Amino acid sequence: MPDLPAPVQAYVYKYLLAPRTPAYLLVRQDGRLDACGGDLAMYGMTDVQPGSAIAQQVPVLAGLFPCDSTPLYIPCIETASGLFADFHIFPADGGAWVLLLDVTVDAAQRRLLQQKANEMVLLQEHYTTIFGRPLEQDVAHNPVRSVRGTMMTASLLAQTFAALDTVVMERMADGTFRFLGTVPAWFTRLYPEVAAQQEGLRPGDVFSFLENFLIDAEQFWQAQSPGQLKSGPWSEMEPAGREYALEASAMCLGPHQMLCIAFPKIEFAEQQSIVQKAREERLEHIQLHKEIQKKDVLLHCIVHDLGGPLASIISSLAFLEEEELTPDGKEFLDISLRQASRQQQLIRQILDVFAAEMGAIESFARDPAHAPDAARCAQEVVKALSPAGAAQDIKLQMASNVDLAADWQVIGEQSRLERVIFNLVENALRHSPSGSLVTVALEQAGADVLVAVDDQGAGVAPDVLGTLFEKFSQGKGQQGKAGLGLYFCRITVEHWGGAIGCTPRAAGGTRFWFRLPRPTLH
Amino acid sequence: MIQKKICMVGAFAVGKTSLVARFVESIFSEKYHTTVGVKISKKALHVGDQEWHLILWDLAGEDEFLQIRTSYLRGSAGYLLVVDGTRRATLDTAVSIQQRIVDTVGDIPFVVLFNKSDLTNEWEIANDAFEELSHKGWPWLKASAKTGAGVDEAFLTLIAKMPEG
Repeated sequence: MPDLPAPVQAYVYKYLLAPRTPAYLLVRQDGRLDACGGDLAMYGMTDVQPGSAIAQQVPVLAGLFPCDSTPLYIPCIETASGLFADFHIFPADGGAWVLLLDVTVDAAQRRLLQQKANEMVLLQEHYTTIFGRPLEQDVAHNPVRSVRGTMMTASLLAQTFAALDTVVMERMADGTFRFLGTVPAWFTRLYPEVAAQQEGLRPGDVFSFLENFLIDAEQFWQAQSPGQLKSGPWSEMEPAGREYALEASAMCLGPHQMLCIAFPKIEFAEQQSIVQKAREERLEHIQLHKEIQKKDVLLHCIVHDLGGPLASIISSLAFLEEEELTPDGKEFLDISLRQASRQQQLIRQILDVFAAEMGAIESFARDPAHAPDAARCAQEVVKALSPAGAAQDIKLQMASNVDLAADWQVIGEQSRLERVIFNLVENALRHSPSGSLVTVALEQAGADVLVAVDDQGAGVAPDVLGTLFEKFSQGKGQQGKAGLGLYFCRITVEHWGGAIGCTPRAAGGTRFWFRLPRPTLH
Repeated sequence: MIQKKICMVGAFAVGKTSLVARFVESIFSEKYHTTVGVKISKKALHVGDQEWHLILWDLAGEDEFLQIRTSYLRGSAGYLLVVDGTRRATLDTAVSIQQRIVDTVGDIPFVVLFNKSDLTNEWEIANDAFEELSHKGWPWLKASAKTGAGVDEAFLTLIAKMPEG
């Protein structure tokens, strides 16, 4: 379709072609199947196999191969499944495409029309037999011809609806309704007294649901609106206790105001099935989420309990430092203290993340009276980690241009903010070479305050850049780390309405930064 | 005889259909069966010396894909705002629905019904939520469609709030 814009092509496919359940066969000139696809099962073609003789499985194609280059159209063929399909056959290299499009509804309507036409012919013949002159001759001289024609059309329409299991009613001037055409069997079975009434009907008295819908329908009819107004499905209980679904629609046919009640068994079941499936999956998801939360709580308890004895171990080891130990003993003590502290750090990180995920960081200040000072927090961290930096021959410092007297208040909570800066500085120290510099800088950034930690390390590897702030993300050479430090930073900063990231520095190394909004007066 | 229309509204899978089934037919099924559109049931009962015919409109539950049609509540004498006590989020949905109902049909009697009260181990509604409802003047009850506890009481509480005329 080269002349049609893509949206038109998409519309044609979605609304005109796709509802016709397309399926295709690619048949070679020797009559054997080369390829197939689409919803062949709909047409009862469940066992068509490439290489097989197609005429055996699709009898309508018997004798057509080899075929010439003229496209062939075979309309309204009943398939093995009972559905009707149009067959479009057009040439391909070494064979032909066979395209099937569902026309079952059209076929049913065509059959009805044909039946009506046949009945008309029979009626005309009877008329001629009885009155000795053709019906047309009388109709031509009859002033009510057009009325009769209209009624005939309405009747035909009502017959069509009846075949589609739809009750058709016409609204009369006094607000009551009358049935048009044959009342479907399901309605007669459920409401025999109403079905026998024919005229003076008040559907709102029969169906409580329609009492509501008719309010909208009246407006629709009064406005002579085009198209139809649908009620949406509703269901009622049979006296026997079985549930059945219905759907009403209002429409204007010329001066006639029509109310239809359909029995959309299949559509209702399909809709019910889709919604049911989606909601069951949603419920499973909710249940799974709850289970995970329960396990997280359990894990938290275990980790918390593991941390308890560790504090005593570290204290005892610290006391040992004051004892007179051999050089080897001092070395072993040093190793023990380092490893115990490392483990304590890991446990703290896990507990921090858990607390953050469970909403313990909900409590934070947005007002200047309680908001933390980012510069002061940064200073505290620099002070606390400088010895660790010195031990690795790394100089840790505040940027020289930070005016500590300025307003550096941000939305957040002091101990958590210090923890965020601590994690970023500790991360920088871990990735910095000996003799390098780590600088903590602060900048005013409009309505935000920007805090940055600059290092002179090798930079972040491109393959971990995208997941650096995710849970359990670890850079290279970080064995023994939980991979939660930067994750904690991200969820905390984002929870306070800020942002976090890292960028390579022009001078080499990396800048880890975050920005937080300033507190506001309410 | 007094005939009244009562609607059941709330988030999906809170147990609206099960509450109706318990109230009307005294039955309960563990299987979740989603409602499409509206399901209409009838229940006749005596309250004092009056005979009441209730037409129960069980509206499809709300989720992020389907919103209830508040126009369905036109002509209702009252409604039960159903919450799943094991899913905290369904209370937020109920509050949102209540506001839309007020916008559409005005202030009509309602009762907030916390269903699944038998699932005490999974209960997610804290006491402060009940206090907040009471503070707002919203009547609330706990019930279990499974055991039947509180179900009749919920409907009778709603009936008591509805005008007889």
